[in-house]
Amino acid sequence: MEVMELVNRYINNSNLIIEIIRRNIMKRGYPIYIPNKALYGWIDEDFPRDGEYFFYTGLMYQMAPYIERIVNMLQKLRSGVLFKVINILNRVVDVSRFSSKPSHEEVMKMHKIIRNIYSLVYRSGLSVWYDPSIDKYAGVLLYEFGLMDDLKIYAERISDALSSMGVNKIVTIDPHTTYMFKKVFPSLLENYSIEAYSYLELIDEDIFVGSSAEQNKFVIHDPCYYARGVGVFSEPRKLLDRIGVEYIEPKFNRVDTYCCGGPVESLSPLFSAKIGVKRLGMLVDTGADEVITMCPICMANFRRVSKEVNIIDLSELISKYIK
Amino acid sequence: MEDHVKNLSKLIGHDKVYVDPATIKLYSKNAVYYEGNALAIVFPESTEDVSKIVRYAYENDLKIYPQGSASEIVGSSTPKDDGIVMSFVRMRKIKDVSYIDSYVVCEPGVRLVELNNYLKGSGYMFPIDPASIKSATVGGAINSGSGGMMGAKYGTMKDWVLGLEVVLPNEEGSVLRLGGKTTKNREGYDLIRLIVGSEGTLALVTEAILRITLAPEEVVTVAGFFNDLEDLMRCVINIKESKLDILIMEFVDDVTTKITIDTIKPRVSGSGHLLITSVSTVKEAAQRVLDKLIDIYNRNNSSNIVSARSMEEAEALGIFDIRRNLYPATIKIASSSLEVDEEKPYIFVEDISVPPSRLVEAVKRLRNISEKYGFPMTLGGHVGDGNLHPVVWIREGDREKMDQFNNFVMDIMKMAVELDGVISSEHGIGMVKKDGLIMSYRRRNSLYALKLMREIKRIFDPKSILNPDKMLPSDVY
Amino acid sequence: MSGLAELRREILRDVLKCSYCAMCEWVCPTLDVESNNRLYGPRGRVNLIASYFREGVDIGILKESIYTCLVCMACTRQCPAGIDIAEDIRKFRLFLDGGNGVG
Ligand SMILES: Cc1cc2nc3c(=O)[nH]c(=O)nc-3n(C[C@H](O)[C@H](O)[C@H](O)COP(=O)(O)OP(=O)(O)OC[C@H]3O[C@@H](n4cnc5c(N)ncnc54)[C@H](O)[C@@H]3O)c2cc1C
Ligand code: SF4
Ligand code: SF4
Repeated sequence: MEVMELVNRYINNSNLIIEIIRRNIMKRGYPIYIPNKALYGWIDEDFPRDGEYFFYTGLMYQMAPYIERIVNMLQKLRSGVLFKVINILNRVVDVSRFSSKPSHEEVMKMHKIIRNIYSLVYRSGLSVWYDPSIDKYAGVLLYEFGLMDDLKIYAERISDALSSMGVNKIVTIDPHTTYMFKKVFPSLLENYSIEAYSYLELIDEDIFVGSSAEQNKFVIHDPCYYARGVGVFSEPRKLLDRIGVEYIEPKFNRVDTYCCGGPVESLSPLFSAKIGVKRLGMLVDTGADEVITMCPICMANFRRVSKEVNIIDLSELISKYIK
Repeated sequence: MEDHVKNLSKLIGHDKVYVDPATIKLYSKNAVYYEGNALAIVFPESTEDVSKIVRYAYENDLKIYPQGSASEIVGSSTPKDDGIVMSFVRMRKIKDVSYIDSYVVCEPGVRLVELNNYLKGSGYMFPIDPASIKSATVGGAINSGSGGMMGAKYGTMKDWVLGLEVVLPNEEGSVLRLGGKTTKNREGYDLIRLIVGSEGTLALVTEAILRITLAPEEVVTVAGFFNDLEDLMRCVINIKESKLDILIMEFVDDVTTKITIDTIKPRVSGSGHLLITSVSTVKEAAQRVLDKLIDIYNRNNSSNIVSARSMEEAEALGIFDIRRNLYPATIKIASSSLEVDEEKPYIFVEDISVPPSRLVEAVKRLRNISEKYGFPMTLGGHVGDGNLHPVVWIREGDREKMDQFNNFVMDIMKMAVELDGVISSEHGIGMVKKDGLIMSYRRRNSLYALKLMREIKRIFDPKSILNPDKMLPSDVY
Repeated sequence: MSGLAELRREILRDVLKCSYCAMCEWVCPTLDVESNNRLYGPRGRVNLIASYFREGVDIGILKESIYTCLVCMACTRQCPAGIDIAEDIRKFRLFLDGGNGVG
């Protein structure tokens, strides 16, 4: 009951939270405040500035460590009055700046994941390029909250920016951004012609040495928006098979996967945590030592509920085996 | 009323009692359209909770309406405003399993799909597989006496309950343990089988010991279409004569086959009546059995025959697509038949059985009845055991049709009884078939049976606080 | 027809197909974790939406139910009526938000 009471409180404040996030995205281009260094600090100087596939991070990996902080902050704001004040304040300054900062290691870990993914596509022989000025948050939360009018304006901005730079193919690196580009934008925008691929669809299996040296047992957790959203679930398995990494299938896998709880984090953090605990329980119950994720939201939510279990990103594991 | 809620909250904890109108509304419906009302919804988490609630209800004349997933379709789980819904969804533990002794012990809120997922990998299964396997709970299936596609081989729920823990609706809220972990049991009257199918009118099931069985090593399946119903029936008879171990034997009539193919684009297609037969066998014999089966289909003028050597192959080929999508297709047709946008279609699934040898006659007469009333109808069923499920749909606003509907159902039930069949096979009586019950027993000159049932109910439930007015007609005899 | 009315029609048409069979519930994470109250599962959400449009429901409870949904689409795959459950819930949020300009 205690949890439900809290959920109630948050839901009653949900309009305000939604408003804060909406305003941030529309005005500032991201749902919560993140320093520029965290967003783009992963970039190497010698990235190609031109090529066939634009490397579109969508900023989700970069944001993940910050989400936890901001959620903690919101969690502390219990009274509706305070919320109203905050909301008014947010028109002038981004209130999410006031949350505590994630540790340097956490930020660096995410940066490393992005660089890993970049090398995976690069080594697969694709001509990839990058330019931070058009790599934007894809409006995932606008979509989830049902703010379609805002999303339309926002998506047009993104798509126009990409087109103006001559982009027509992108590689995405997280399921939510992938879903936006593959499923949402095409039905929302007229004259939309960007082809989007998850990096998992583009990796050439032959770049790996096929001899896993892993001692640990792994379990695989499919993100909803890869598995059910865009039908990507056999690709990661093929890669693991190729490398020879053994992995266990948990209860509820592939298209029948079970949500990590992450999506409602901003509205009802405790509810979200409960679901995280439940799913992580299923994953750990398989007897695995490490959990393979493919989504920064899943990773963040599992990390939030347990510091003991080792949660890794698929790219961290497979990039070790690039020839 | 507020007192009741307060007292119940004090008794079992306030987080187990819900009184908000939205929750009450959601627990006052079933999978057809029966909407009731209730004072509160309670969610017991243990036998002790159940017993406490019962004691309170007994003392205060509060009615109790037990509920699993409310997926029943006869009105057996819906409440009225004189009582509370007791939902078993929080009692969901699988407590024990023994492969050597072939049983599993579980709480009533476990869904059948969860039970089978739990057994997966052991080689064992719980063989009662209603089409509602994803929703049906152990408590609901026991109390409905449910059956499924594999009924041809495994019967219904009544054949698979070894033991029960129940709470009686009496002053003490007594907890009884009936039966046990053995298949053989001759300890007096068979109270377990009395409770199976009692639609929550006799006792509250708080734990069940269910028999489990080895899943067949290999299952071969053949599907084929028949222009002539007589050919199909002869095929059924020939298969039965050939002493094959029939697991599934499903039938869909020609009209329905066509509608379903048009609506859902199944992977298997053809025209005429559809017969799907699955036979349980071992790997080594699979091909031989399959050939035999195909031969029987061929001999009886079947067309568009599709066959599979294993269940995996059958799934890959989509052999069951048409049968499984009967319900989805019906919903689709019913929804698209609406004239006004904001109306709801109601879907009614009938549930008669006739001896399999009378199936041809039953199908013909069903069609006449459907024509007489002008109700479009889809028709499928488990031919293995003679259970037919004619389905009709009515717009919620169509008062006239709703009124006719009762006569329509009565005609169907009369027909079943005339062919030496029964008016309900696995769905139950609930609120909708009480008249049918009287009709059926009257025809057999056995109305006294209903009186016996009333008396039994009175002994179990002296104050009639448990699911009152369900299943048993109150007057006549 | 205005955008909002069109949206209402679209959602309502779909949710009214619900036959209350409950086959969507076993996969729903939010139903599972806390109270097991139907309110926090797909069947509850779909029917609350229908009630909201047809008879009216307590808006506080409705929001609680609608905004705890993960829009994870697990339920959608299960529904024999072919209701696009998760999508309807998401669209309904749009509706609750006054259509966010749609109207
Ligand atoms: C699409 C669809 C397909 C179906 N297919 C089939 C089928 O193939 N075969 C079949 O047999 N049925 C079928 N049914 C009917 C129904 O699903 C089954 O009867 C199912 O077993 C009911 O389970 P439930 O948990 O929903 O029970 P409920 O509907 O909640 O309850 C059923 C009865 O059991 C009582 N009850 C529930 N739990 C307890 C308890 N713990 N103690 C005492 N009484 C209790 C209730 O009061 C009620 O009388 C179908 C229904 C639908 C909607
Ligand atoms: S989309 Fe919402 S209702 Fe459907 S399973 Fe996920 S959380 Fe439950
Ligand atoms: S599965 Fe579909 S039809 Fe059945 S209860 Fe859920 S939403 Fe309704």
